[in-house]
Amino acid sequence: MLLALLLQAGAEEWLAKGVEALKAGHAQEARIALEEAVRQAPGQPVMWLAVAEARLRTGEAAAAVAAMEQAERLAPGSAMVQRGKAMFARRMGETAQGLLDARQEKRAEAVLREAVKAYPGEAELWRLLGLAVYAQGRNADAVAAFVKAIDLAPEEEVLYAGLETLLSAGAEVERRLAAYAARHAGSAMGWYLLGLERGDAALFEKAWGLDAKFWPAAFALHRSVAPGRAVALLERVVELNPEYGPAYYALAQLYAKAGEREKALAARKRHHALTGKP
Amino acid sequence: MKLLVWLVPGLLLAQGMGSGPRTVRKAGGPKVAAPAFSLREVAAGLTAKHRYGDGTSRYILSMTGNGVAAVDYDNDGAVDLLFADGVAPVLYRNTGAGKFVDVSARSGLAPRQWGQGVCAGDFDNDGWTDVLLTYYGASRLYRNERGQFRDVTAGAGMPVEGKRFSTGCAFVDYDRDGRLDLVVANYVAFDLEKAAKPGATKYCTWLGLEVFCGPRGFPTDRPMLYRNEGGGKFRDVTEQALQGVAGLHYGLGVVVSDFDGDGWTDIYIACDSTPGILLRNNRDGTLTDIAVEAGAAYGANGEELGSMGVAAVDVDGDGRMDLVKTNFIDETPSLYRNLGDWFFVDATEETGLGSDATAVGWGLGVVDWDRDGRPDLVMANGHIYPELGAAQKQTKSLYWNGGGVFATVRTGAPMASRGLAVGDLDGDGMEEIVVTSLGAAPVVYRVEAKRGNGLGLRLEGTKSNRSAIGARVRVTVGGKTLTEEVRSGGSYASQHDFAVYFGLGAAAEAERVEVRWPNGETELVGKLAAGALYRVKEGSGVVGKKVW
Repeated sequence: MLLALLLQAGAEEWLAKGVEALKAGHAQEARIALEEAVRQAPGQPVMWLAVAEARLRTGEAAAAVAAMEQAERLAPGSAMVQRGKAMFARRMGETAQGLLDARQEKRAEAVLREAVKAYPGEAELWRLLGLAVYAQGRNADAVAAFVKAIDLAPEEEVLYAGLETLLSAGAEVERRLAAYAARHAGSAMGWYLLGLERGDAALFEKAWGLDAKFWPAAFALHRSVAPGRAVALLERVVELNPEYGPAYYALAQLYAKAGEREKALAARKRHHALTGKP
Repeated sequence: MKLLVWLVPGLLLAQGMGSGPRTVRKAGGPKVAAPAFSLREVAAGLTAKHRYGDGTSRYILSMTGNGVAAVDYDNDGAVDLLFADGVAPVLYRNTGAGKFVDVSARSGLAPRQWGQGVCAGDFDNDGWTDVLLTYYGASRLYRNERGQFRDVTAGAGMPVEGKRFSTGCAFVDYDRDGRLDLVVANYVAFDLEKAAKPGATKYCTWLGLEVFCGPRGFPTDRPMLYRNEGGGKFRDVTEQALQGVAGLHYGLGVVVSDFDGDGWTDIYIACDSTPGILLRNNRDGTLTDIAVEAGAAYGANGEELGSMGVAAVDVDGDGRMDLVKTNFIDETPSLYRNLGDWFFVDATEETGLGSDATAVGWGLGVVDWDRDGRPDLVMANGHIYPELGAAQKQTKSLYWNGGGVFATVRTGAPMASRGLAVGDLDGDGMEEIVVTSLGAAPVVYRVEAKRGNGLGLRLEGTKSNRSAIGARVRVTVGGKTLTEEVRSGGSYASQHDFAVYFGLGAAAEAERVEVRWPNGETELVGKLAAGALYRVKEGSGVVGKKVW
């Protein structure tokens, strides 16, 4: 009787049925219902949004992305579709993270490969891709993914920390980074990354010499040299960049630990004057 | 909104965070193996689920959740629990041995929308602990009349209407007149009627999703100070008494402590996305914000932290109160080590407190759970966006103090936690930890660990304020002196029990116990044996004890 009723159901009913199944965690059931919904109403973007989620949950990442793209094609300016698309980026990341947590790295990578194709500007997806391939022992690919993430979000220190860990795990990496640095010889980033890989303060110095406002290099350098040298370095940074607040704070930290309270106080005040406005 | 906040267990977890306690090493020192410890949930009968102010999580008003007070409101010697709540405060009476019954209906505490935090203190010195409940709108001062609360806000001269978004608070006798005054933190300047809806501005979106707005995008605010004039009256003295506090802060957790050891209580306010506030008591009825100069305003790299909870604690046993704060994800908790003479230095990294950046930290408690004389830390965590689904829920953080360096574990069921208070709920001599969480019933925990001996003190002022808030206790054991204070507020918008506890390790007694009362006078209590909670009355020494 129920089957008969369902067979007579319209697209809206299939959609409702599918969404209920999704809520209940019955992914396969949801997929069947929602595929039927899009079959009956292929012009409705909401159907495609829903089926994208169902396809993702049933492990068909490529088909899920295709559904999302279909929704966008049908309603390119729709706020609902844009919202759904943004949500879907997060869902893909969550799905991949769940797979990573479950030690299903290959499946996670498959999801993430589709994800970075669909959302190439999302640094977080690149980071996860880096983790997925790292877990499979492909360190060089992991580094490439992390470098891409850093390119997209250079302000995120956690990416540098992740990269640092990866760099310590692979021999191939140094060669690739050296090649990258040579190709971008005028850019601080490559030398800085190579410096991380080699633990070579001279490369931080080189990077910083290329771009005195490239804070990661100066920061790494000041942490890798003796306190006296670090102070001199940061004093040079603020001389070159007198408006650069974070350097004053790092200086204040060094002064404070050296017991130079007056200098620390002055540096703290300068930092606050430069950065302390919400 | 920051990137990378939506998938928490990333590389750090892959590297072993959360896998269990590890060894710690102080610079130049030997490795210290952290002993086994774990967090255990305790059945306490707390069944009332937290409620949002309007039943939804559309506004930042709901994101901040609620605090909890561990306080003996009925003077029966057992620590009761009062929960601020979005809809109506919930009061549980401790029926003994840590079991609770909901007595809200007959408590005198009125239902009121948009509750936030709670703090406690006997403002009229009648021997019954009073409370302030903070709200969006206007906070409410309740006088405790022999176990019945009565709203005395209007009679006290405090605002009964308004649109302030008040969060943390503390009673503090800042002018040492024996009467408890009040400091109240305010978060964003917020008008519910005009508040932008999710998605309305760039501050109301996240990864393209429409989420609640703020705090960025809302005007900042400033803390308020109310002076207790006696006779149940309070006067707003913010303008004249708080110096150097521009209205440029998103204030949350409040703690009171004597940071410079001069006998005059100072105040620290943890602020979200703005510099912290450190109010030095000028001993003349004014307090000045010196957080920037003191080095307690920013994170280790000079960044504005998303700070929520706060504790004053002598982590390194030098007799000076250091500061610990809980912060947003991708930040770590902060430790400002107090070097004396109003000079702090960020010691987060070197002490191991900076090892976990995956938590959104809120409530913060100090419990020496192994009773080794070194205070340990517990933190309640939870992300802010309900759009995260299950990932909004996070486990708790435990930080074991190995002598100025910490080993950490993440533990307990994941929840979107906020408030946290500590107190010995079952009277066995070890503090329990109460945690509030969005949309869920509160949970009581205790840390299971092999423990040494300990003792506790519950103080009662006579010339000083009766709650003894601001009193400093120094306990000498094995030639080492431990320091703790009686405080109001603390954590995130919460109130720990007033009793103070000390770990004595293997020692059977404390060689010397002294109390410096809030009025500045010091009283020698003498030797005290381990294994009891002592009641100490100002001028009379020990007047009672409960042996565990």
